Amino acid sequence: MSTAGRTGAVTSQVRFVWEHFKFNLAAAMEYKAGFVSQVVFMLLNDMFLLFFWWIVFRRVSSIGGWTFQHVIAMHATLATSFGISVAVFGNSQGLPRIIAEGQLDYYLLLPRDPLLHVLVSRSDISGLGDVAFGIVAMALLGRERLSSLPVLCITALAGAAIFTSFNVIAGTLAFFVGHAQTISDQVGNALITFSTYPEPVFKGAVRVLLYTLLPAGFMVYLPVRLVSAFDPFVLAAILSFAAASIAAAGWAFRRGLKRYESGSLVVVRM
Amino acid sequence: MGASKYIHIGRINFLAKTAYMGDLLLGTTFYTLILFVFVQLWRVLGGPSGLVVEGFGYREMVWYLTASEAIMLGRARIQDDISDEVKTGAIAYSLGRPYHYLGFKFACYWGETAVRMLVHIAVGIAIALLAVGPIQVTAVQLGALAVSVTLALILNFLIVACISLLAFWVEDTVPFFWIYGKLLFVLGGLFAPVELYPEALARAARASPFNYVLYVPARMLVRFDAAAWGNTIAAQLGWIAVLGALAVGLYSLGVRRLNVNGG
Repeated sequence: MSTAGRTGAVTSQVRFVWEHFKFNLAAAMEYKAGFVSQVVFMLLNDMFLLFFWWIVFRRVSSIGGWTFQHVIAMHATLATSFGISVAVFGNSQGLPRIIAEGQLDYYLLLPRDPLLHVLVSRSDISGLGDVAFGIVAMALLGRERLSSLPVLCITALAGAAIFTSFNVIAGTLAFFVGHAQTISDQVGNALITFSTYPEPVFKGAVRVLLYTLLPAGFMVYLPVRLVSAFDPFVLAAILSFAAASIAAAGWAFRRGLKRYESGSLVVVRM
Repeated sequence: MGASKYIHIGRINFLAKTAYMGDLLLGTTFYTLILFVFVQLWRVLGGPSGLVVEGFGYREMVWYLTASEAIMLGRARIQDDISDEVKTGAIAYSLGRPYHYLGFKFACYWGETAVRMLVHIAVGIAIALLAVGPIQVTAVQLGALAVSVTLALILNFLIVACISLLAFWVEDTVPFFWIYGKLLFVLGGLFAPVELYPEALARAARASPFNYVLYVPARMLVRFDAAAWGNTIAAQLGWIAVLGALAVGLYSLGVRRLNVNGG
């Protein structure tokens, strides 16, 4: 494919994602009270996450070189990445169930990329509360860190791509083992859990794990380093890992799809 | 006769849960992970020049977290069932049956909670022993602790029931549960004993019922105070009486608003 053709294809996919998100958002806003409460309560819910660290940093000045500012940046990046992932690609965490129940049939019959289509077909609106928290937390970093905002935004987008791809790869286990929702949820929880604690807490083999199988390093730890001191090589590493994650997720899904069997399920989609 | 049907319901739920022991053990992965992370964290925080909490060394802190997380994760999730039954009107089916709806849910809750707690306690003890070794505790203290944990879990049921019954009035109760979870986290002392808090916040935490769900029994495990035990149990019973009355009141008011369409 020529460069112009590839650019056109990417633009078309981005527009497809955006149109789905707008549609899901409009559907959620039909229930205004529910919509507002989900977003506001999630924002409040996330604010509580900083409480524990506020208590800890009243007593200690740093944890292995990480200060309260680093922890705020960590939560800002994580919440924004997570929020974008679940709000835009809302089916990424439910993929094992969709595969196991044979609900992929609907997407396979349509001309769009089935993986992208299934991912954007649902939005978890509470994710917007996470994004709102991310913005508030970035603001809490203070004026001196304002220059880091563009970097944090770019790395949050990369983090969303990594988190979504990670869920897809875990979810494709369902092609091979059948019901994989529980195991997929567990590894997803593990990634989130490790992403909410400062990097210096983990050492040795665990640290290696966090830059490979459970990529909390690329999702939050490296972005936090960029807030302290910008390094183009670190940014390039994050973006490269995000691109590789997307490619790996696509490859895993296509490999799994060869083993997919229709659920023979008759459903009406309204 | 009145209580025996609820005991029977609880027993059926207990047996039903034990049939899926593999799932239950897989469900403790998160508990194991959290404890692992906290062992690492407090190893760093509790280092030679690190964080000192009155009466809580590194070992006590790990055992405190083992207990508070066991209660947090060992609780059965009944909120989805109650909220859904209220929203869909399915609660109407229980109105004609020879039991009180809240009593039925309480029995179901205990059937599942008993299994979950046993599994979490076993896993938690194994991890804490491996990580930091044993703590000093006598059989009498364990008996006293069991009473407090039981009351803590009853208190949790009543708070969850009150929030779930709000589904009679509001569209979606899920966001209230996010906040309840975080109140347990902050005022309940899930990750840290209130000794670590600023004085005003510690006082607010101690005055709240959330403190009696997690902090009180977890602290009792690591720093048992025989003289204060009676007062603690009395306070737990007091909150149970208040929230029990509130749950029954909300249920009575709610069922009067119940509209059921179709069949």
